[in-house]
Amino acid sequence: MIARRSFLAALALLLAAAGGPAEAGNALSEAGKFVERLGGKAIARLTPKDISAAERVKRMRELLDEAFDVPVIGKFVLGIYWRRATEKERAEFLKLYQTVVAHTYAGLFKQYSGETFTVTKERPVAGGAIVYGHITQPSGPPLPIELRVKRSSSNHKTVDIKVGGVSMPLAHRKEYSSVIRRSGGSIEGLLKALRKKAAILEKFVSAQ
Amino acid sequence: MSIDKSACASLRFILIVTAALSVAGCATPPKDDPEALAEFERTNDPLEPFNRAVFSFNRTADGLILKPLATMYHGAVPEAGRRAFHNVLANLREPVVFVNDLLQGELDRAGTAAGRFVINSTVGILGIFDVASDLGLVQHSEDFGQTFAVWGVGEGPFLMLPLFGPSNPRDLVGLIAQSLGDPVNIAAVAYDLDEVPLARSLATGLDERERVLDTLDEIERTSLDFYAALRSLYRQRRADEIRNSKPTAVEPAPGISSPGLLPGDGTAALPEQP
Repeated sequence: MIARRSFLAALALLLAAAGGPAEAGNALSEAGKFVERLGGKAIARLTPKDISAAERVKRMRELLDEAFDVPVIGKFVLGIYWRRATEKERAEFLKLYQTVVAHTYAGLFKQYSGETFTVTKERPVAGGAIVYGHITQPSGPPLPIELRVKRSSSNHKTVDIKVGGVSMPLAHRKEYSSVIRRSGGSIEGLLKALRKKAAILEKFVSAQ
Repeated sequence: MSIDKSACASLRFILIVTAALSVAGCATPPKDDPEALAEFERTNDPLEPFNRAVFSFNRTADGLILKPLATMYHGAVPEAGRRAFHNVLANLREPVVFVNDLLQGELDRAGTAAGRFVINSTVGILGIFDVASDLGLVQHSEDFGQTFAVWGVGEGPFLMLPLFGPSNPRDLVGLIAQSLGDPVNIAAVAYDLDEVPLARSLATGLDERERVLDTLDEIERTSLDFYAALRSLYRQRRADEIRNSKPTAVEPAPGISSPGLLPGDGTAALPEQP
Protein backbone atom coordinates (compact mmCIF):
# COMPACT_ATOMS: atom_id res chain seq x y z
CA MET A 1 0.00 0.00 0.00
CA ILE A 2 2.74 2.41 1.02
CA ALA A 3 4.74 1.39 -2.00
CA ARG A 4 1.83 2.13 -4.25
CA ARG A 5 1.24 5.47 -2.62
CA SER A 6 4.79 6.62 -3.07
CA PHE A 7 4.66 5.40 -6.64
CA LEU A 8 1.60 7.54 -7.20
CA ALA A 9 3.17 10.49 -5.43
CA ALA A 10 6.28 10.21 -7.56
CA LEU A 11 4.17 10.00 -10.68
CA ALA A 12 2.17 13.04 -9.57
CA LEU A 13 5.35 15.01 -9.00
CA LEU A 14 6.63 14.02 -12.40
CA LEU A 15 3.44 15.17 -14.03
CA ALA A 16 3.36 18.39 -12.03
CA ALA A 17 6.90 19.09 -13.18
CA ALA A 18 5.80 18.59 -16.76
CA GLY A 19 3.73 21.67 -16.13
CA GLY A 20 0.10 22.57 -16.55
CA PRO A 21 -1.34 25.95 -17.48
CA ALA A 22 -0.26 28.63 -15.04
CA GLU A 23 -2.98 29.55 -12.59
CA ALA A 24 -4.05 33.14 -12.81
CA GLY A 25 -4.24 33.47 -9.03
CA ASN A 26 -4.12 37.04 -7.79
CA ALA A 27 -2.90 38.37 -11.11
CA LEU A 28 -6.45 38.61 -12.44
CA SER A 29 -7.45 41.85 -14.10
CA GLU A 30 -10.77 43.55 -13.51
CA ALA A 31 -12.38 41.42 -16.24
CA GLY A 32 -11.06 38.21 -14.69
CA LYS A 33 -12.32 39.26 -11.26
CA PHE A 34 -15.67 40.16 -12.79
CA VAL A 35 -16.01 36.63 -14.22
CA GLU A 36 -14.90 35.07 -10.94
CA ARG A 37 -17.55 37.08 -9.07
CA LEU A 38 -20.12 36.22 -11.73
CA GLY A 39 -19.41 32.50 -11.30
CA GLY A 40 -19.72 32.84 -7.53
CA LYS A 41 -22.99 34.76 -7.79
CA ALA A 42 -24.45 32.30 -10.28
CA ILE A 43 -23.69 29.35 -8.01
CA ALA A 44 -24.90 31.12 -4.86
CA ARG A 45 -28.14 32.43 -6.37
CA LEU A 46 -29.16 29.83 -8.94
CA THR A 47 -28.14 26.44 -7.62
CA PRO A 48 -30.01 26.10 -4.27
CA LYS A 49 -32.36 23.15 -4.58
CA ASP A 50 -35.03 24.68 -2.36
CA ILE A 51 -36.01 27.57 -4.64
CA SER A 52 -38.91 27.25 -7.06
CA ALA A 53 -38.37 27.05 -10.81
CA ALA A 54 -40.04 30.44 -11.20
CA GLU A 55 -37.74 31.98 -8.58
CA ARG A 56 -34.69 30.53 -10.35
CA VAL A 57 -35.78 32.08 -13.64
CA LYS A 58 -36.41 35.42 -11.91
CA ARG A 59 -32.92 35.37 -10.41
CA MET A 60 -31.43 34.42 -13.78
CA ARG A 61 -33.18 37.40 -15.36
CA GLU A 62 -31.65 39.68 -12.73
CA LEU A 63 -28.22 38.21 -13.37
CA LEU A 64 -28.67 38.72 -17.12
CA ASP A 65 -29.53 42.38 -16.53
CA GLU A 66 -26.61 42.79 -14.20
CA ALA A 67 -23.81 40.97 -16.00
CA PHE A 68 -24.76 40.37 -19.63
CA ASP A 69 -25.17 42.77 -22.51
CA VAL A 70 -28.34 41.22 -23.89
CA PRO A 71 -28.85 43.85 -26.62
CA VAL A 72 -25.37 43.18 -28.07
CA ILE A 73 -25.92 39.42 -27.86
CA GLY A 74 -29.41 39.66 -29.33
CA LYS A 75 -28.17 41.81 -32.19
CA PHE A 76 -25.54 39.20 -32.98
CA VAL A 77 -28.07 36.38 -32.73
CA LEU A 78 -30.39 38.06 -35.21
CA GLY A 79 -27.39 38.47 -37.53
CA ILE A 80 -28.19 39.61 -41.03
CA TYR A 81 -31.81 40.05 -40.04
CA TRP A 82 -31.10 42.73 -37.42
CA ARG A 83 -30.78 45.46 -40.03
CA ARG A 84 -33.88 44.28 -41.82
CA ALA A 85 -35.97 44.29 -38.65
CA THR A 86 -38.07 47.31 -37.71
CA GLU A 87 -37.51 49.05 -34.36
CA LYS A 88 -40.63 47.37 -33.06
CA GLU A 89 -39.47 43.92 -34.17
CA ARG A 90 -36.03 44.45 -32.64
CA ALA A 91 -37.50 45.50 -29.30
CA GLU A 92 -39.86 42.55 -29.21
CA PHE A 93 -37.10 40.16 -30.25
CA LEU A 94 -34.78 41.34 -27.45
CA LYS A 95 -37.54 40.99 -24.88
CA LEU A 96 -38.49 37.48 -25.99
CA TYR A 97 -34.87 36.42 -26.41
CA GLN A 98 -34.06 37.48 -22.87
CA THR A 99 -36.94 35.34 -21.62
CA VAL A 100 -35.80 32.28 -23.57
CA VAL A 101 -32.18 32.75 -22.45
CA ALA A 102 -33.21 33.17 -18.81
CA HIS A 103 -35.14 29.90 -18.95
CA THR A 104 -32.34 28.13 -20.81
CA TYR A 105 -29.60 29.09 -18.34
CA ALA A 106 -31.84 28.61 -15.31
CA GLY A 107 -32.52 25.07 -16.55
CA LEU A 108 -28.80 24.38 -16.80
CA PHE A 109 -28.17 25.58 -13.24
CA LYS A 110 -30.96 23.40 -11.95
CA GLN A 111 -28.87 20.35 -12.87
CA TYR A 112 -25.94 21.64 -10.84
CA SER A 113 -24.49 19.11 -8.43
CA GLY A 114 -21.39 20.35 -6.68
CA GLU A 115 -19.28 21.35 -9.67
CA THR A 116 -16.75 24.12 -9.07
CA PHE A 117 -15.85 26.96 -11.38
CA THR A 118 -12.28 28.22 -11.67
CA VAL A 119 -10.91 31.09 -13.71
CA THR A 120 -7.57 30.03 -15.17
CA LYS A 121 -6.37 32.74 -17.52
CA GLU A 122 -7.38 35.71 -19.56
CA ARG A 123 -6.42 37.49 -22.72
CA PRO A 124 -6.98 41.21 -23.26
CA VAL A 125 -8.72 42.22 -26.46
CA ALA A 126 -9.59 45.73 -27.54
CA GLY A 127 -12.51 46.93 -25.46
CA GLY A 128 -12.35 44.09 -22.97
CA ALA A 129 -11.00 40.62 -22.42
CA ILE A 130 -11.59 36.94 -23.00
CA VAL A 131 -11.58 35.08 -19.71
CA TYR A 132 -10.93 31.34 -19.64
CA GLY A 133 -11.82 28.89 -16.94
CA HIS A 134 -13.31 25.49 -16.39
CA ILE A 135 -15.95 23.65 -14.47
CA THR A 136 -14.75 20.52 -12.70
CA GLN A 137 -17.31 17.77 -13.03
CA PRO A 138 -17.80 14.79 -10.72
CA SER A 139 -16.99 12.46 -13.62
CA GLY A 140 -15.31 13.17 -16.89
CA PRO A 141 -12.78 15.81 -17.88
CA PRO A 142 -13.11 19.46 -16.81
CA LEU A 143 -15.49 21.46 -18.97
CA PRO A 144 -13.79 24.53 -20.46
CA ILE A 145 -15.65 27.83 -20.12
CA GLU A 146 -14.83 31.00 -22.01
CA LEU A 147 -16.42 34.40 -21.47
CA ARG A 148 -15.94 37.43 -23.64
CA VAL A 149 -16.29 40.48 -21.46
CA LYS A 150 -16.87 44.01 -22.68
CA ARG A 151 -15.59 46.87 -20.56
CA SER A 152 -17.41 50.15 -20.35
CA SER A 153 -16.67 53.21 -18.24
CA SER A 154 -18.51 51.95 -15.19
CA ASN A 155 -18.81 48.17 -15.48
CA HIS A 156 -18.22 44.90 -17.29
CA LYS A 157 -20.76 42.99 -19.35
CA THR A 158 -20.58 39.50 -20.83
CA VAL A 159 -21.14 39.44 -24.57
CA ASP A 160 -20.32 35.80 -25.36
CA ILE A 161 -20.23 32.61 -23.36
CA LYS A 162 -18.72 29.34 -24.53
CA VAL A 163 -19.19 26.05 -22.74
CA GLY A 164 -17.09 23.16 -24.01
CA GLY A 165 -16.14 25.24 -27.03
CA VAL A 166 -19.78 25.88 -27.91
CA SER A 167 -20.83 29.53 -28.03
CA MET A 168 -24.40 29.88 -26.85
CA PRO A 169 -25.07 33.07 -28.87
CA LEU A 170 -23.59 31.48 -32.01
CA ALA A 171 -25.74 28.37 -31.49
CA HIS A 172 -28.81 30.60 -31.15
CA ARG A 173 -27.83 32.59 -34.22
CA LYS A 174 -27.63 29.42 -36.31
CA GLU A 175 -30.85 28.02 -34.95
CA TYR A 176 -32.83 31.24 -35.30
CA SER A 177 -31.59 32.01 -38.81
CA SER A 178 -32.78 28.52 -39.76
CA VAL A 179 -36.20 29.31 -38.28
CA ILE A 180 -36.35 32.57 -40.25
CA ARG A 181 -35.29 30.86 -43.48
CA ARG A 182 -37.88 28.13 -43.03
CA SER A 183 -40.59 30.72 -42.61
CA GLY A 184 -39.67 32.27 -45.95
CA GLY A 185 -37.20 34.85 -44.65
CA SER A 186 -39.75 36.47 -42.39
CA ILE A 187 -38.68 37.88 -39.02
CA GLU A 188 -42.31 37.68 -37.94
CA GLY A 189 -41.99 33.88 -38.35
CA LEU A 190 -39.19 33.87 -35.75
CA LEU A 191 -41.10 36.21 -33.43
CA LYS A 192 -44.14 33.96 -33.64
CA ALA A 193 -42.07 30.91 -32.69
CA LEU A 194 -40.41 32.87 -29.86
CA ARG A 195 -43.75 34.11 -28.49
CA LYS A 196 -45.03 30.57 -28.45
CA LYS A 197 -41.86 29.23 -26.83
CA ALA A 198 -41.77 32.00 -24.21
CA ALA A 199 -45.39 31.26 -23.27
CA ILE A 200 -44.69 27.53 -22.96
CA LEU A 201 -41.58 28.15 -20.85
CA GLU A 202 -43.41 30.54 -18.50
CA LYS A 203 -46.24 28.08 -18.12
CA PHE A 204 -43.79 25.23 -17.50
CA VAL A 205 -42.07 26.95 -14.56
CA SER A 206 -45.25 28.29 -12.99
CA ALA A 207 -46.70 24.77 -13.04
CA GLN A 208 -43.74 23.36 -11.09
CA MET B 1 -19.80 -10.79 -35.64
CA SER B 2 -16.46 -10.64 -37.39
CA ILE B 3 -14.70 -7.52 -38.56
CA ASP B 4 -15.39 -8.41 -42.19
CA LYS B 5 -19.06 -8.68 -41.44
CA SER B 6 -19.22 -5.35 -39.69
CA ALA B 7 -17.41 -3.73 -42.62
CA CYS B 8 -19.96 -5.29 -44.92
CA ALA B 9 -22.78 -4.02 -42.72
CA SER B 10 -21.29 -0.53 -42.81
CA LEU B 11 -21.06 -0.65 -46.59
CA ARG B 12 -24.64 -1.82 -46.90
CA PHE B 13 -25.63 1.01 -44.59
CA ILE B 14 -23.97 3.60 -46.86
CA LEU B 15 -25.77 2.14 -49.86
CA ILE B 16 -29.11 2.47 -48.08
CA VAL B 17 -28.31 6.06 -47.12
CA THR B 18 -27.32 6.89 -50.69
CA ALA B 19 -30.52 5.38 -52.03
CA ALA B 20 -32.59 7.32 -49.50
CA LEU B 21 -30.79 10.54 -50.42
CA SER B 22 -31.68 10.25 -54.06
CA VAL B 23 -35.36 10.01 -53.13
CA ALA B 24 -35.59 12.72 -50.47
CA GLY B 25 -34.23 15.62 -52.52
CA CYS B 26 -32.47 18.74 -51.36
CA ALA B 27 -33.12 21.92 -49.40
CA THR B 28 -34.09 24.97 -51.45
CA PRO B 29 -31.53 27.75 -51.08
CA PRO B 30 -32.84 31.36 -50.89
CA LYS B 31 -31.35 32.25 -54.31
CA ASP B 32 -32.77 35.78 -54.61
CA ASP B 33 -31.28 36.93 -51.30
CA PRO B 34 -27.44 36.98 -51.32
CA GLU B 35 -27.05 37.53 -47.57
CA ALA B 36 -29.53 34.84 -46.66
CA LEU B 37 -27.90 32.59 -49.26
CA ALA B 38 -24.50 33.08 -47.58
CA GLU B 39 -26.07 32.21 -44.21
CA PHE B 40 -27.70 29.15 -45.80
CA GLU B 41 -24.38 28.01 -47.21
CA ARG B 42 -22.67 28.41 -43.84
CA THR B 43 -25.33 26.20 -42.33
CA ASN B 44 -23.99 23.56 -44.71
CA ASP B 45 -27.08 21.35 -44.76
CA PRO B 46 -28.15 20.89 -48.39
CA LEU B 47 -29.74 17.53 -47.50
CA GLU B 48 -31.94 19.08 -44.82
CA PRO B 49 -35.24 17.45 -45.89
CA PHE B 50 -33.63 14.00 -45.81
CA ASN B 51 -31.83 14.77 -42.55
CA ARG B 52 -35.02 15.95 -40.91
CA ALA B 53 -36.78 12.75 -41.98
CA VAL B 54 -33.99 10.68 -40.42
CA PHE B 55 -34.15 12.90 -37.32
CA SER B 56 -37.83 12.21 -36.82
CA PHE B 57 -37.15 8.49 -37.28
CA ASN B 58 -34.37 8.76 -34.67
CA ARG B 59 -36.66 10.56 -32.24
CA THR B 60 -39.28 7.86 -32.60
CA ALA B 61 -36.71 5.11 -32.07
CA ASP B 62 -35.25 7.03 -29.13
CA GLY B 63 -38.65 7.55 -27.55
CA LEU B 64 -39.61 3.89 -27.98
CA ILE B 65 -36.38 2.17 -27.04
CA LEU B 66 -33.24 4.08 -26.11
CA LYS B 67 -34.64 6.76 -23.81
CA PRO B 68 -36.83 4.37 -21.78
CA LEU B 69 -33.85 2.01 -21.38
CA ALA B 70 -31.56 4.88 -20.36
CA THR B 71 -34.19 6.16 -17.90
CA MET B 72 -34.60 2.69 -16.40
CA TYR B 73 -30.85 2.33 -16.12
CA HIS B 74 -30.65 5.75 -14.45
CA GLY B 75 -33.30 4.76 -11.93
CA ALA B 76 -32.02 1.24 -11.23
CA VAL B 77 -28.28 1.82 -10.91
CA PRO B 78 -26.89 4.27 -8.33
CA GLU B 79 -24.61 7.07 -9.48
CA ALA B 80 -21.41 5.33 -8.30
CA GLY B 81 -22.29 2.24 -10.34
CA ARG B 82 -23.03 4.25 -13.46
CA ARG B 83 -19.80 6.16 -13.07
CA ALA B 84 -17.84 2.89 -12.74
CA PHE B 85 -19.54 1.52 -15.87
CA HIS B 86 -18.77 4.73 -17.76
CA ASN B 87 -15.15 4.67 -16.61
CA VAL B 88 -14.68 1.07 -17.79
CA LEU B 89 -16.05 1.91 -21.25
CA ALA B 90 -14.01 5.12 -21.45
CA ASN B 91 -10.90 3.18 -20.47
CA LEU B 92 -11.48 0.69 -23.30
CA ARG B 93 -11.48 3.66 -25.69
CA GLU B 94 -8.03 4.87 -24.60
CA PRO B 95 -6.14 2.60 -27.05
CA VAL B 96 -8.05 3.99 -30.03
CA VAL B 97 -7.55 7.51 -28.65
CA PHE B 98 -3.83 6.70 -28.41
CA VAL B 99 -3.75 5.47 -32.04
CA ASN B 100 -5.45 8.63 -33.25
CA ASP B 101 -3.17 10.87 -31.17
CA LEU B 102 -0.23 9.21 -32.93
CA LEU B 103 -1.85 9.55 -36.35
CA GLN B 104 -2.26 13.26 -35.62
CA GLY B 105 1.35 13.60 -34.44
CA GLU B 106 0.19 14.62 -30.96
CA LEU B 107 2.86 12.78 -28.99
CA ASP B 108 2.12 14.42 -25.62
CA ARG B 109 -1.52 13.51 -25.86
CA ALA B 110 -0.63 9.99 -27.01
CA GLY B 111 1.48 9.68 -23.87
CA THR B 112 -1.46 10.84 -21.78
CA ALA B 113 -3.81 8.29 -23.36
CA ALA B 114 -1.27 5.47 -22.96
CA GLY B 115 -0.54 6.47 -19.36
CA ARG B 116 -4.23 6.62 -18.56
CA PHE B 117 -4.84 3.17 -20.03
CA VAL B 118 -1.96 1.57 -18.14
CA ILE B 119 -2.73 3.25 -14.80
CA ASN B 120 -6.50 2.89 -14.91
CA SER B 121 -6.40 -0.72 -16.14
CA THR B 122 -4.16 -1.70 -13.23
CA VAL B 123 -4.35 0.66 -10.25
CA GLY B 124 -7.83 1.68 -11.35
CA ILE B 125 -8.93 -1.99 -11.46
CA LEU B 126 -9.92 -2.63 -15.08
CA GLY B 127 -10.77 1.03 -15.52
CA ILE B 128 -13.44 1.20 -12.82
CA PHE B 129 -11.63 4.06 -11.06
CA ASP B 130 -10.19 6.97 -12.99
CA VAL B 131 -7.03 7.19 -10.91
CA ALA B 132 -5.13 8.76 -13.79
CA SER B 133 -7.23 11.94 -13.66
CA ASP B 134 -6.27 12.45 -10.02
CA LEU B 135 -2.66 12.24 -11.14
CA GLY B 136 -3.18 14.98 -13.69
CA LEU B 137 -3.59 12.73 -16.73
CA VAL B 138 -6.84 14.28 -17.89
CA GLN B 139 -9.05 12.39 -20.29
CA HIS B 140 -9.43 13.65 -23.85
CA SER B 141 -11.34 12.44 -26.88
CA GLU B 142 -9.97 11.46 -30.26
CA ASP B 143 -11.44 9.44 -33.07
CA PHE B 144 -10.78 8.76 -36.73
CA GLY B 145 -13.13 11.53 -37.86
CA GLN B 146 -11.00 14.02 -35.93
CA THR B 147 -7.83 12.51 -37.40
CA PHE B 148 -9.15 12.88 -40.94
CA ALA B 149 -10.01 16.50 -40.13
CA VAL B 150 -6.47 17.14 -38.87
CA TRP B 151 -5.19 15.59 -42.11
CA GLY B 152 -7.17 18.21 -43.98
CA VAL B 153 -10.22 16.22 -45.05
CA GLY B 154 -13.25 18.52 -45.25
CA GLU B 155 -16.36 17.59 -43.30
CA GLY B 156 -18.74 17.64 -46.26
CA PRO B 157 -22.42 18.42 -45.77
CA PHE B 158 -24.17 17.87 -42.46
CA LEU B 159 -25.63 14.39 -42.22
CA MET B 160 -28.14 12.99 -39.74
CA LEU B 161 -27.39 9.29 -39.46
CA PRO B 162 -30.03 6.77 -38.50
CA LEU B 163 -29.51 5.88 -34.80
CA PHE B 164 -26.00 7.42 -34.69
CA GLY B 165 -27.30 10.99 -34.91
CA PRO B 166 -25.55 14.16 -36.14
CA SER B 167 -22.58 13.53 -38.42
CA ASN B 168 -21.10 14.27 -41.84
CA PRO B 169 -19.47 12.13 -44.57
CA ARG B 170 -16.01 12.51 -43.04
CA ASP B 171 -17.16 11.44 -39.59
CA LEU B 172 -19.21 8.62 -41.11
CA VAL B 173 -16.06 7.21 -42.72
CA GLY B 174 -14.40 7.81 -39.34
CA LEU B 175 -17.09 5.70 -37.66
CA ILE B 176 -16.43 2.86 -40.08
CA ALA B 177 -12.68 3.16 -39.55
CA GLN B 178 -13.38 3.10 -35.82
CA SER B 179 -15.29 -0.16 -36.12
CA LEU B 180 -12.36 -1.69 -38.04
CA GLY B 181 -9.42 -0.08 -36.28
CA ASP B 182 -10.27 -0.19 -32.58
CA PRO B 183 -7.38 -2.05 -30.90
CA VAL B 184 -9.57 -3.48 -28.14
CA ASN B 185 -12.06 -4.86 -30.65
CA ILE B 186 -9.31 -6.28 -32.83
CA ALA B 187 -7.77 -7.99 -29.81
CA ALA B 188 -11.14 -9.31 -28.65
CA VAL B 189 -11.96 -10.78 -32.05
CA ALA B 190 -8.48 -12.32 -32.27
CA TYR B 191 -9.27 -14.15 -29.04
CA ASP B 192 -12.61 -15.34 -30.45
CA LEU B 193 -14.58 -12.93 -28.28
CA ASP B 194 -16.70 -12.01 -31.29
CA GLU B 195 -19.51 -10.48 -29.22
CA VAL B 196 -17.28 -7.84 -27.66
CA PRO B 197 -17.51 -5.14 -30.40
CA LEU B 198 -21.30 -5.23 -30.52
CA ALA B 199 -21.65 -5.47 -26.74
CA ARG B 200 -19.35 -2.47 -26.36
CA SER B 201 -21.32 -0.45 -28.89
CA LEU B 202 -24.61 -1.20 -27.15
CA ALA B 203 -23.18 -0.48 -23.70
CA THR B 204 -21.65 2.78 -24.93
CA GLY B 205 -24.96 3.79 -26.50
CA LEU B 206 -26.75 3.22 -23.20
CA ASP B 207 -24.08 5.04 -21.18
CA GLU B 208 -23.99 8.02 -23.51
CA ARG B 209 -27.77 8.32 -23.68
CA GLU B 210 -28.07 8.20 -19.90
CA ARG B 211 -25.46 10.92 -19.50
CA VAL B 212 -27.38 13.33 -21.73
CA LEU B 213 -30.90 12.54 -20.48
CA ASP B 214 -31.36 15.92 -18.77
CA THR B 215 -29.29 17.89 -21.26
CA LEU B 216 -31.22 16.72 -24.31
CA ASP B 217 -34.53 17.32 -22.55
CA GLU B 218 -33.38 20.85 -21.72
CA ILE B 219 -32.31 21.57 -25.29
CA GLU B 220 -35.63 20.29 -26.59
CA ARG B 221 -37.57 22.31 -24.02
CA THR B 222 -35.80 25.61 -24.70
CA SER B 223 -35.17 25.42 -28.46
CA LEU B 224 -37.45 26.74 -31.18
CA ASP B 225 -36.28 24.09 -33.63
CA PHE B 226 -34.78 21.04 -31.92
CA TYR B 227 -33.19 19.78 -35.14
CA ALA B 228 -31.55 23.12 -36.01
CA ALA B 229 -30.39 23.53 -32.40
CA LEU B 230 -28.72 20.11 -32.34
CA ARG B 231 -27.15 20.65 -35.75
CA SER B 232 -25.58 23.89 -34.60
CA LEU B 233 -24.44 22.52 -31.23
CA TYR B 234 -22.97 19.41 -32.86
CA ARG B 235 -20.97 21.32 -35.45
CA GLN B 236 -19.51 23.73 -32.90
CA ARG B 237 -18.71 20.94 -30.47
CA ARG B 238 -17.07 18.88 -33.20
CA ALA B 239 -14.95 21.81 -34.39
CA ASP B 240 -13.80 22.30 -30.80
CA GLU B 241 -12.88 18.63 -30.42
CA ILE B 242 -10.91 18.71 -33.67
CA ARG B 243 -8.79 21.66 -32.61
CA ASN B 244 -8.40 20.09 -29.15
CA SER B 245 -10.14 23.04 -27.48
CA LYS B 246 -7.46 25.48 -28.62
CA PRO B 247 -8.93 28.96 -29.08
CA THR B 248 -9.67 30.00 -32.63
CA ALA B 249 -8.52 33.23 -34.18
CA VAL B 250 -11.57 34.09 -36.22
CA GLU B 251 -14.99 32.93 -35.27
CA PRO B 252 -18.09 35.05 -35.32
CA ALA B 253 -18.99 36.20 -31.84
CA PRO B 254 -21.06 39.03 -30.41
CA GLY B 255 -19.14 42.24 -30.26
CA ILE B 256 -16.58 41.22 -32.85
CA SER B 257 -16.43 42.88 -36.19
CA SER B 258 -15.43 40.45 -38.88
CA PRO B 259 -16.20 41.64 -42.36
CA GLY B 260 -18.00 39.05 -44.42
CA LEU B 261 -19.37 37.32 -41.36
CA LEU B 262 -21.34 40.14 -39.83
CA PRO B 263 -21.76 42.53 -42.73
CA GLY B 264 -22.19 45.97 -41.29
CA ASP B 265 -24.34 45.08 -38.35
CA GLY B 266 -22.30 47.45 -36.24
CA THR B 267 -21.25 45.08 -33.49
CA ALA B 268 -17.68 46.30 -33.62
CA ALA B 269 -17.27 46.88 -29.91
CA LEU B 270 -14.61 44.20 -29.39
CA PRO B 271 -12.45 43.63 -32.46
CA GLU B 272 -9.87 40.85 -32.24
CA GLN B 273 -6.32 41.98 -31.71
CA PRO B 274 -3.95 40.96 -34.47
